[in-house]
Amino acid sequence: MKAAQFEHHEPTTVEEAVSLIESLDEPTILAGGQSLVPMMRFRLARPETVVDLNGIDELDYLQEADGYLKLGALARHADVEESSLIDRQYGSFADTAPLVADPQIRNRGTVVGSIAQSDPKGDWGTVLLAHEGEVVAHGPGGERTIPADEFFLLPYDNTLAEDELITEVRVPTSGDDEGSAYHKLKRKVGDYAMAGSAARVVLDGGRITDATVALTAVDITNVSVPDAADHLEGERPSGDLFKQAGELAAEHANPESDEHGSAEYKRNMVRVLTQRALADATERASNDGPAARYGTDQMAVGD
Amino acid sequence: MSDAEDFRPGELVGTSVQRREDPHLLSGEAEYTDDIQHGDGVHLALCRSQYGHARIEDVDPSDALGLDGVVAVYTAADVEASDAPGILRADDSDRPVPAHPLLAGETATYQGQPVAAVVAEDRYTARDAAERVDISYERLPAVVDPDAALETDAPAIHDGAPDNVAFEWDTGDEDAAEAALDAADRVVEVEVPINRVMPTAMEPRAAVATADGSDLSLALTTQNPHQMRSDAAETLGVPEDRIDVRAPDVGGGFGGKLQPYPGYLLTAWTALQLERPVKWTATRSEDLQSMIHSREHDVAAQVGVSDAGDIEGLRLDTVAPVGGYLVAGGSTVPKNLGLMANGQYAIPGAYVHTTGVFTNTAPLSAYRGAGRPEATYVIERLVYEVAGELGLDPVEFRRRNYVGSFPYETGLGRTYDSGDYGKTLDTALGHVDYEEFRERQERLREEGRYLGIGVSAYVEACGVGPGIGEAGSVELTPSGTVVVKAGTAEIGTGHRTGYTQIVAAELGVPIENVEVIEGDTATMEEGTGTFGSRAMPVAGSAVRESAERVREQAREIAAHHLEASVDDVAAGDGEFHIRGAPDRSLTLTEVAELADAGDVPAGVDPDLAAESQYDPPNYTFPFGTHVALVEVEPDTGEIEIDRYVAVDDVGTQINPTIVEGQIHGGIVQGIGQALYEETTYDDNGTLVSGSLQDYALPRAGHVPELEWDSTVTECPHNPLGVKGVGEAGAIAAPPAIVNAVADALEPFDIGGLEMPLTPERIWRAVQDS
Repeated sequence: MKAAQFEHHEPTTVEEAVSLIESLDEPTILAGGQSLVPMMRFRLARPETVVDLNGIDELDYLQEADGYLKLGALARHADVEESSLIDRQYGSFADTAPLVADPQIRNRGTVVGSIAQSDPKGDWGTVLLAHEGEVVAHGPGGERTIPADEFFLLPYDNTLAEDELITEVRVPTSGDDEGSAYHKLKRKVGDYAMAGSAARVVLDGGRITDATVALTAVDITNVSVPDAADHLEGERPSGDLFKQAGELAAEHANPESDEHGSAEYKRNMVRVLTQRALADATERASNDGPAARYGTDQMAVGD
Repeated sequence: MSDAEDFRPGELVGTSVQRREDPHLLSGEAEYTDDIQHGDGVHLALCRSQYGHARIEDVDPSDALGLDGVVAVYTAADVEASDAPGILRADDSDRPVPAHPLLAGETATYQGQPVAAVVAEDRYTARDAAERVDISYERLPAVVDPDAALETDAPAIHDGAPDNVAFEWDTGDEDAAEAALDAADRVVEVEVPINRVMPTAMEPRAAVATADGSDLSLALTTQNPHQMRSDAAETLGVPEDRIDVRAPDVGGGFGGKLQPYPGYLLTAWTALQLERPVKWTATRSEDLQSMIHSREHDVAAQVGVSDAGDIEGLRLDTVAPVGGYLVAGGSTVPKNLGLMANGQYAIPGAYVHTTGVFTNTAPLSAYRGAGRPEATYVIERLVYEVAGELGLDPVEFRRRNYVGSFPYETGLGRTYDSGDYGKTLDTALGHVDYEEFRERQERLREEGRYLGIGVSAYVEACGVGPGIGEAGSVELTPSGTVVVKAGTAEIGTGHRTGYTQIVAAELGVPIENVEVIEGDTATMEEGTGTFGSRAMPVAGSAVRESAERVREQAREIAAHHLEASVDDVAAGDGEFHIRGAPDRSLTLTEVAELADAGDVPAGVDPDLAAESQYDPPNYTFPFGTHVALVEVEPDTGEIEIDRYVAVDDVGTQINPTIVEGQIHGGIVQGIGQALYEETTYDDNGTLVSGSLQDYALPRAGHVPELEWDSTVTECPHNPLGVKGVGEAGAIAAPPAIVNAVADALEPFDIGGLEMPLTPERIWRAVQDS
């Protein structure tokens, strides 16, 4: 370890964790530690106290209950990757999990931790937005839920209060006529997204009755694209329709140039990735044919 | 001496026995430098320049010294006040070379250059204290691009080199090249940039030093302990015979562990100051910032060709950065580009001019291939582009210009020993079915799919010589164990297995009976090191000669006891017997026991041991053909490698599985160079790609299944016929990939391609076409 010194607390219940967080001075919360620990090793983060959630067994779950798919704060990326609940209906979850970092990190890192980190390059915030999910927080005043589209504020900042702990994220249970997908472009296997797009569609009688599109790494937070959703709703799926939605998503994106890619390139990739995600989501919702019939090919993204 | 009844060495040489290194490494028994513990040891941490170019105004250690557990803080002034000259080894140049100090005194010329050294009781305190050393800088204008550094108004990095030129050098016949270009039907001009990459071994740099009076013992993760001993002697002012250097298990080198890094020698120097064991282990960030970088070149090429497709003239003007200082290998690598620039082709008039330039970046030196990847990239990109200009198939264009007879004097300073370039080309093209691919490519283009095929036909130079020898000794002990020692160091390359096979074959003993010791100046007085794919061709030849001498000595002893003349005694499988009477025999162990008892004929040394120096008469010249098949997605610029076929001729193969493994590893690093890796600095000389989150090393998911085949054209000038294989994959791969992408995008009429071929660069090339 190359970190500076810190104090380590390991509560075993949510109640204990919440009271620790309330009583300690600016505690940092550790779940999977896959963002926090590297930052501590680089000494970019120097928390004085760390509250480690890994002893709280009640937070270790991934389940369908009460009309939701629920992920507890200790559900690892690998749990999503391996879960039998994650199938066509939660296609964007199935797409995302294996694209997060590498197997070692997926075995340790958590979905909730990624959302709490609120890095606009993180994948799970986009999936949460696409599924119109919620964040469940516990604080001294008890439990509250925050809708995904009210959660993210700025890079690494969200509407969680200082003394609150995210115990769960959840998305509404997906029906047979619903499909979602996530496509991501990255510099190399295991990287953060250069750009990413999640799409979710609900089909009824050959028409799209509900749709969402959300984006990764092209704005100050993960963002959803209401214009694209509006454009899709009520329409019959087609390659042209997806292309138009992709263009709307590209217009909506607000990427910045960095060492991994220019804003112009990222914007164009939002267009391509959104088309691909919509084609896959629609295929999964309709359950009757390859995505290629919607006019985009299936070349693997990234790897 | 050998005849029909002698043991056949071929039975072991050429066999894929399992690597003897692996059980030790895989079971956690390995001892890396950082694993070495001394009860009373202290830890070194370095304070490094934050800036690419700065005057050091003041170093205030008081805050650091106030921390509990801090033993000492040293600056350049402390080194100057000691007996140590304190200057690091550098390459020769045609002009004065600026001195490279252990610690920067007045000026830091690259980000990461050590400015102060902190020693503390534990490594955590050392690091905490290093942060508290207060260094005041006056920032100076920096220059990181070598072409910009040559501009007349560029900031001068060293007072002694106002033009920032570190060296100038040329090779070949300039007049002949110019005449050939003038007379050619057509001259094609191409700019070939090569990206800067970082050799990244699993194990970062580490050193442990103990000092007893002026006796110094160093454990280093290094490829060349004997050279490190000389460097420590030179830089620290300690007589060489008072110094031992050993390389414990080494987790990869790739050329990055050939340098006398300040961290290594400061570990030694602080141990001498404190008379306590000192350990230093670099972080990954420190390695990326201040280990050597490599490959970066700007090459302007002119190729003169006849209309029929014969290459008649070649002129290269290359500009290579050397970084903040010229270090060992800093000029050798760019020179190697020039020396191998004609590749597999016979070019009547060839000339290369090279300018080495100081820049405010980490120093550059050797990385797997050391100039040959650069040479191969340049000539293979040129061949592809020139064939395109002439409207010729790039494969036929190559074949037409191949060197056909050997030895071949290139005109650029090398004499190729042996080769059969058409053979690896034909084998490789056979594996991919070239004609069928071209048809499929045509067909799929109509569907909007873009497939490409790229060929890299390489020849490289291994086992530097003459003049750089290697030592190898063999001793048959009374227990029957054979102890082999070599002046190389095992860095993951598997040559312990190779030496074992060579010696076991010569002596006819089971491989279990052979023990190999390397990488330790205390057990092997002479040595050179592991680099340039030289272990098997050079050290292997020395080891083989020693084994042969021990065998013949044992034969004499056996003959004496069998009461026969030496000529009548055959060397069998671990025994000697009288020809035609196999039951009248003595085992090698029996001979060893007799020798140990002194029961030997007059005039024969009872010590069954021999040490040989092998000085190669020339380099060896392995060659081969690599072919990449790719598909490019023009919408995103993504590249998929569909197939990668490598056919290599590295001479005799001692262990084909190790050969294949070396090729695989090299290809992966070559794919990294072609598609992912890029070391970037901002204009101030701050490293942008400073972590493995920012620097894109290839991972398993980036590597296609590698299909490998080989031909064997023996090296004619060493006793094993071996040419060396450590670097070939990294040398061959980049142009195979880049030519394949260029071929895939041929319908778009794109301009030049610049490695790494990131999706954005490809997308942009398509957009701009």
